[in-house]
Amino acid sequence: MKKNIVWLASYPKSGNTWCRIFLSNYLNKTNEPANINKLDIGAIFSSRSIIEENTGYDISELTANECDELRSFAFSKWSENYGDNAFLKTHDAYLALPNGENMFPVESTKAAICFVRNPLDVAVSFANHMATTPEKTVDKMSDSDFCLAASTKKYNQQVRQRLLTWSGHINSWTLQKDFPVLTVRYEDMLENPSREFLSILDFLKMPIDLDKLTKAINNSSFETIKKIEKEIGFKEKPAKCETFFKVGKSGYYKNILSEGSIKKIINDQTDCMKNIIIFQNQGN
Amino acid sequence: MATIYTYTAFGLTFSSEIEIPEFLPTTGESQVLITLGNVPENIEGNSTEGFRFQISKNEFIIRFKPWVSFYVCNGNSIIIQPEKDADERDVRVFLISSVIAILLHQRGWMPLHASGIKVNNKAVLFSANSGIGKSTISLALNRKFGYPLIADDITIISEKEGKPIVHSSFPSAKLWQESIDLLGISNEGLNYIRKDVFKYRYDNRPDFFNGILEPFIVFVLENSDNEKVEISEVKGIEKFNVLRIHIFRLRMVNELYATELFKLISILLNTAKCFKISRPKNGNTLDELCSIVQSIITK
Repeated sequence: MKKNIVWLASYPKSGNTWCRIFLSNYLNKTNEPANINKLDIGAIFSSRSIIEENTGYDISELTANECDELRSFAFSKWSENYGDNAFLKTHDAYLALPNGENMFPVESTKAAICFVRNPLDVAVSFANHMATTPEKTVDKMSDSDFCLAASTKKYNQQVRQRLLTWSGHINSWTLQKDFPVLTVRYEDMLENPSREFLSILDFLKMPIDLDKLTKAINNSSFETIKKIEKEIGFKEKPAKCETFFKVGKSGYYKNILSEGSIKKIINDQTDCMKNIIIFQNQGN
Repeated sequence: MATIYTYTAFGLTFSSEIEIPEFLPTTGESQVLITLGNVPENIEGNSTEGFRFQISKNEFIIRFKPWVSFYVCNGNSIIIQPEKDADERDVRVFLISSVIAILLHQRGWMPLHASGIKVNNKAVLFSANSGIGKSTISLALNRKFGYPLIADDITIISEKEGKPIVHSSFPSAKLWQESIDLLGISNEGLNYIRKDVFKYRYDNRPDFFNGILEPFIVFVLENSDNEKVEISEVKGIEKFNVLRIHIFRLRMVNELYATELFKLISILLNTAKCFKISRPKNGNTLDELCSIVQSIITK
């Protein structure tokens, strides 16, 4: 069994897609920006088709909990087709199955990178993503039962993903002891992308080529990928969301979030915010 | 003595110790026995393992924990071992899909992941992965133009005197609420396929054809990121490849029946035309799809 899965784990809208686009550009042999609709560096842990292809089961006959039981087997098998790094994006919290067994293929895992972002900005960006209000989004970020792809009434390309609260999600990844984890702050990626992406390459023991690094950072800059999305669209954008790459800045929440929402996030997520030293940047 | 039910489905007669209301009742000598009993722990001799299943050329064991286990052998026998508290729908949903599909593989037949309708005494099939709309388009064409349904999810291809034949399956379809809405059907009185899986079981009797047909056209449906419905005829080696990936439970049987399946796809493609339809993954294109298909099948 290979031990090559690298988790790109995050609460939504925290820099995960940006990193995947960076990695795709870094590993891409051409100088042209990678096609954001063909990021050929791995997959997403909630992919229904990968689970069905690697187990032979029809997920539409199963409950969400039964689907979770297939995931470890399916992605362990999937990772056998990759070399040193089989990148798997996930928004799932790092959780076990109800029976205590692993939902994640721990035996096939090399490491995890956990992206974290100021939850005040996450709330604004995630509200745009879900085409809902920031207030409703803030409530979801405090809801330990919150799931993505949770509808049991229709077909979904992805299986249900349990996120926990924003804090619960981050703690589940950063405090686990099953494999090494590198925590990367979105704000640091904005401030100094070279330093942060270099730290990721270094953490994963990937060969470092500074020319490629510069090329990949330029080709994955927010302005570049926003322009590409405008030209060719982005298949990962939810249907109701206007644009996936909208603002991308730090501190944008100040223009959008109500005082009540800010207070609720700070109140509900204080400990975790302190832990990742985002809290201090807000002057509190 | 236990009641024995006799049914026809997939071109076979089943004698069953459990009731299968989705199948059509029949009489006569059965070719497959479905009994309640103990499923063996393992397959003896060479076998391969998947997630909670073992398979060899003539035997198959699968355990849908915690509800039920099945043992299928020699293309003519299924043993069901339900666990305590198993709901009968939890048993049947797996029996009439994966389990019987493997039995059909064991008989050297090809279960295709396809729905189908009868058009001028021939079979028109819609093959696709789950969730693309196989059931919906077949039922929509049935409603609009009166073509009887021949299958919802699995269509069987076998051979007679060197020619391909299509066997109908059974009259019930599995539909999400979204499809129910698109088709304008009421969900009143419909059961879910399982007690905790909220997809409906919809019975299309009497508008169902039970029997054998010559294949006419296979439409392969795909979702795409494009904004329009696109259709193209598939020819040559691509025709073989697009159909092969839609063999039902191919990922479970892998290469076990490669020879039989290669032969069946080859003779099917000698007879049937194949078109690929790409449809936008978002939005309602059902009417457009029906018009396109109708124009091709009536050409």
